Amino acid sequence: MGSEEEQRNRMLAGADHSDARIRERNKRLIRTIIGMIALGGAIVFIDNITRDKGALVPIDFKDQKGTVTNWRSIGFVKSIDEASAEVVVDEAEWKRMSVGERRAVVMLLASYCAARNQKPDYRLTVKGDVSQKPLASVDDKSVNVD
Amino acid sequence: MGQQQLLLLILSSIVVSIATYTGARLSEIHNQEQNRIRIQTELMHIYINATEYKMKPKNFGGGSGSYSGFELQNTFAEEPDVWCWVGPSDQTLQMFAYGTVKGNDGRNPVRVTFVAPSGRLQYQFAAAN
Repeated sequence: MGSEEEQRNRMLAGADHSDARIRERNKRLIRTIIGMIALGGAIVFIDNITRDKGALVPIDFKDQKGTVTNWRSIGFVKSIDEASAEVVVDEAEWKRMSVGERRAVVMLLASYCAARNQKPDYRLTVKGDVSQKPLASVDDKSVNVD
Repeated sequence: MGQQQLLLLILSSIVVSIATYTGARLSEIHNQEQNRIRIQTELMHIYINATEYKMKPKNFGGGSGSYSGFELQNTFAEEPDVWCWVGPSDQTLQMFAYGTVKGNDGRNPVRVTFVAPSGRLQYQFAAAN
């Protein structure tokens, strides 16, 4: 009788021990998954923060007149003198642009002015609206984009 | 279903979502880079053609030392997945091209600019989106 009770107690203790191990294992698993989520969340967050902002102004070379009109309406181009090919742009916006985007803007403006003037050669001076300093220029010999 | 299993299921779903996002993002970056390389190759071909044009005398349909008058050949103008624009101005050559894959802003296609300044052997590519 006594030995049966002892055997039953041992079995119950073993089952308790097994349950405790399963609980411990599940807790470890949850901690690991939470760690993975934290790591993944950090990757997504850092990716979004460091992600290149891309193009700041719309560019459509097929519709150069429309693009320039659009730039004027959004305030990027402050003034444009087609005859002397002199353009004043929003300096703050210009500084936020990548070199590639600045070059694309300069190319489009140079092409637009040449087409308006009906001249084959491209000349252009881009100035900042605040400092009035030249930010970019195009002539027969060189293309300078700061 | 126990609470722990439910929690595990939710957490696992979040991990899978993050993994899917990361995979999609990596694939997007890879596609953009491939498209930029494709555009750069195309622009290089045009640059070679433009240089050839510049070196030819006017009698042979060239520019006699100038890029002025250089135009894209039909083979380049009709490329289905790359659209190029060339701006020759005497001693310098500027080019702009865009592809089919959406660029960094997620709205406009990938753009690449090319400048071959005069008096220098180097040309410069730059991503504009």
